[in-house]
Amino acid sequence: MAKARILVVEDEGIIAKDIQNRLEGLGYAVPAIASSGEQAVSKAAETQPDLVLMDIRLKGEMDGVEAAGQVRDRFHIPVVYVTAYADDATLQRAKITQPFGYILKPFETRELHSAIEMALYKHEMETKLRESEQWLSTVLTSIGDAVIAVIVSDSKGLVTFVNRVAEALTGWKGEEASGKDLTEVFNVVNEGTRTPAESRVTTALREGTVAGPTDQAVLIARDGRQIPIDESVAPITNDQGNVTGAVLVFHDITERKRAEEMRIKRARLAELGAQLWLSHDIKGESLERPALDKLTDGFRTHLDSAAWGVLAVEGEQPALDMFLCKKFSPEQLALIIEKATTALDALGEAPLAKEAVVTRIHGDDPALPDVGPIQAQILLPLVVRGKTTGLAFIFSDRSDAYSPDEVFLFSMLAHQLAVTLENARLFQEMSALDRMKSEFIAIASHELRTPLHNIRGFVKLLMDGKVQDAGTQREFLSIVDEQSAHLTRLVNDILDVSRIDAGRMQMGKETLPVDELVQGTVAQFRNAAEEKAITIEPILPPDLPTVEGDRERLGQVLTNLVSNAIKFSPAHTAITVRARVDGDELIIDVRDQGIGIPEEALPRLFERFYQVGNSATRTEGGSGLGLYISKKIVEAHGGRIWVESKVGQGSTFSFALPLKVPQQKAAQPVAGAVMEVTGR
Amino acid sequence: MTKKILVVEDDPAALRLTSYTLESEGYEVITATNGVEGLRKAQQEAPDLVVLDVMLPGIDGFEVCHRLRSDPDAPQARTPILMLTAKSQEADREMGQKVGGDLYLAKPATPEELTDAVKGLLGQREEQRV
Repeated sequence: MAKARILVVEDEGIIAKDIQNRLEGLGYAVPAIASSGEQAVSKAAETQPDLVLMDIRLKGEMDGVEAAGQVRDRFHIPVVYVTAYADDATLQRAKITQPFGYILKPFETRELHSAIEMALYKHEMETKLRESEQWLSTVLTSIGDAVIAVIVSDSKGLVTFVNRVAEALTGWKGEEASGKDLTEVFNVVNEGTRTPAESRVTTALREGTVAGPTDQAVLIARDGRQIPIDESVAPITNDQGNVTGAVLVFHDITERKRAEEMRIKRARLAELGAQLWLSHDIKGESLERPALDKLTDGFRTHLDSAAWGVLAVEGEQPALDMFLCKKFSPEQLALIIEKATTALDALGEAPLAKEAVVTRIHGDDPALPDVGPIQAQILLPLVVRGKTTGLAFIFSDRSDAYSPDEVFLFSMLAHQLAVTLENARLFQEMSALDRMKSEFIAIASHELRTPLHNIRGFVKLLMDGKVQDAGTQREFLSIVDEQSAHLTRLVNDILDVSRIDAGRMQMGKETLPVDELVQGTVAQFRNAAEEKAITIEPILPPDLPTVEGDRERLGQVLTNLVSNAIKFSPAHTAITVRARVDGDELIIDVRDQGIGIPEEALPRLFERFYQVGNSATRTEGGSGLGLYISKKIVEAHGGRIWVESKVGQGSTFSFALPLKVPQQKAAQPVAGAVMEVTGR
Repeated sequence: MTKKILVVEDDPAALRLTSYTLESEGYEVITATNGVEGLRKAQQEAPDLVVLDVMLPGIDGFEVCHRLRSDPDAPQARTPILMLTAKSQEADREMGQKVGGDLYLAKPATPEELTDAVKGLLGQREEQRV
């Protein structure tokens, strides 16, 4: 064990020497002797003794008390006073320097020894204590939780320690808080009731129990900030079991609360999504309003959105449904509509004509809060079964919108919406198709029954011998013949239409010389025209290009148009069949000088079973399906068909076919290849 | 007494068929090829029975029937009306009844079925009178 080194401060040389001898005799080392206060300090600095024996009364400006003060403060070396005088004043002054002991002169070596040993021991303990406190302080400062320590006084808790985290949360610095009532520094209210929380610390102090964490508390910081916290309290008891203090640990649970909120939001929105999914009533133009209104509410409540909506490509017409959660000025509304339609441009293949978009605004309510400038938006393409059906979007005026969680929530719901909308659309399409089919069947069966009735009737009369006159017999047989022909045409046409509707009309693909087609048809109808004293002539420019298509079907179209022309032309009029090239199309016009078609009838001409004129012309060959079938055939070739007509002046039916090959006559015939029947 | 039957039918072949069938049974037949003409002749000629097609240009057969029945004091209100038509759905039959037709015969119908129906309607009338 190392010898303790003791600095002796004594201005009387002999006494100093004597003390030194005694110390060395006890086994201590004496590195130096100082004879004045100043010297005491400098020697202490120089030799760094373990202890200083200081005479209180020293010569010079600085006396022992002052020197001791310096030694203690600067070097933390324990000082033991040696003195002959023990008056109160001096003792008072001496006490302030917190000496480690006094020895009164004259003293026994025994006394010296025990005083020094006690002083050294005490110093060691103090040092250990300080280090321990230091360690504790470091720990408390560096842990992430906020810690406040209190001591009990008059059954109140007075703050003794506030760590850094607690300082930040409460807004009180440690020094300021020290000694204050805990409730002043740690101002906590109950989350729900906003009343001051029954001080759990008080309870803990009183009953000496540990109170576990609670999370209903809201801390009100010095600057008024409100921070949700959870807190726990542990009392400190002394050896007798009395509560002397407590340690309060708490931390900021804002993040945790936010996560909890998000979880609840997610659950609520998921519920909404489920309801949407289950909403059966898929009638009308769009989804049932209550379901959509609920969604709007949900977005308003859980996502604090400004507006949301869907831009759907419904058939040919895009439609934008905008649901407002807040109140928009016309300019603000125009802005978000613009954003939505522009976004659809970006994801579509064909550019969208913005004017074509039908916009519907819902929920425009003056009672809604005003919307601020739009800070964030989500624009989400909706894809159902690989097909882009539109765009969902949501706008917010919140500066912290949208977190990844919120984007996830929205996209989840938007996709469910997309699927539901798509299903609704399909349902409607199916219903419409269903209705069309029923109608078609009704009309078709009616049309078929009429000639059948006639044929059967006349045959029965003939068979039952009810027709004796030969002339009448011939008349009736002729009618049967004609009705059978009509029936045949009807059946063929109905079958064609069925095939078209089922998407099973296959077109052949060959290279067709247009002039031959026209000449052939004209020749076919020449006799019929002559019978009615109508002229029919082709007009064919030289060097007509060829087209690719189905010879039989295109011939069918031409036949249909020419036979109509003849049917509706009075005697002594002319019909022309002209072929011409216009740009990248080959156009054929069938022109007559017949009775013409009234304007109201024009748009419906190409519909199924639509017939203009009286029943005579109807039975004479028309099924009401000819133009419809012609239209489908022409469109299947990538072409188009139209009519121009004036009542009393005549009509011109035209159809155009795209010129696939460049303008040369000779081309490889591609027989047998199948073209798809694409609609326009 | 020869019964007079008015046949309202726009399809010439069907008209010829019905007219011939009824004439060969000894009835006197007058014809009309559209609804308006049919109404006029029904009022003017006072037929004993009307054979009425539904699909007619202008006003249809149901409308003709309805109008004939609309004035309860007029004699036509009680004239038997036989609807002969290719429209044969349930809804059509119901409509026929609703507008006051007495019998609904769906095409195709044989001449025999037609004459039986006519005889039946006229026979009923005769019984009632007795």
